Amino acid sequence: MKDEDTLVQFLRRHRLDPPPPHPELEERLMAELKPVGHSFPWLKVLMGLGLVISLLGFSQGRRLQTAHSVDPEQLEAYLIQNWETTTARSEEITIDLFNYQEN
Amino acid sequence: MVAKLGVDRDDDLIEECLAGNTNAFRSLYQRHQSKVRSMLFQMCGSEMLDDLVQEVFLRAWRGLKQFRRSSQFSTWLYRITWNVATDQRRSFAKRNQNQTKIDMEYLLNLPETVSSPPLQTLHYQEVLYRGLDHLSTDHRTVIVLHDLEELPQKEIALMLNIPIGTVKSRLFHARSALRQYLEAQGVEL
Repeated sequence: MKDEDTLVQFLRRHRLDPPPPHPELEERLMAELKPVGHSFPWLKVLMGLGLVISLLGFSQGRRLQTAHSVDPEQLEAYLIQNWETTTARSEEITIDLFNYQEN
Repeated sequence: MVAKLGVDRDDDLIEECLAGNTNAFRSLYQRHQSKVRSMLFQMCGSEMLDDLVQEVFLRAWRGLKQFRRSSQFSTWLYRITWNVATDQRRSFAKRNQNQTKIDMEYLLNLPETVSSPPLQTLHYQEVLYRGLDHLSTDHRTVIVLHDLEELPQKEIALMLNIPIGTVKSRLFHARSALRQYLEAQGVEL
């Protein structure tokens, strides 16, 4: 007989069997079972909350963007007016450099 | 043929479980619990055994939707069993505790029957389980699965996700180490 066979025979002859289960083990297990696919209801709640927050954020962002949007024509008119005012003022205070004499 | 019928029955029960029938899972538990229990006992000892069995079946219930049917249900379930056993052995190691607690107390408290084992058998049992404790987890696993639980090497390879050649090699080295230990303890094989 091969060495391996004698060892395996020894193992099987002297192996121990496990102690019997607690009589209520099966019922305890069954009581722990939650429906398959609904074991993480909090995950769905979190996902729902995340979706609502995203939608709210998006709509708020849109609203702010709308409030700050400016009509390009108004903007152009403002810039032109601003420029003209600035240049007019600078003309008033321009020093004639060619005729300048120090006192 | 019987095995094939068993597999079919498992598949039917899984379908029913996925439809929410917890009684079908009770049947799966009744069909497989003794093998799962025995594997856990050989790997982790008798301490917390009921809790570990419960943990295996709870993980199986929660993971049923992910079971791909590419392997047999039993192979998948034994892989979960092995994972639970490995976690438990790590936890024992962290607590710096004798890993498997199949000690003399358990041997001496076995129910007395007309055919109670003679003292020499008790001694051999103790030496055997000390020898298993002496092995690395990988070596103990293959000895337990192949030599004690009599699972085929192919199934062990699938279960542990390793090549069959690795199973053979681990088995060879595990047996050598165990034989050496037993002989050093005075066991004549």
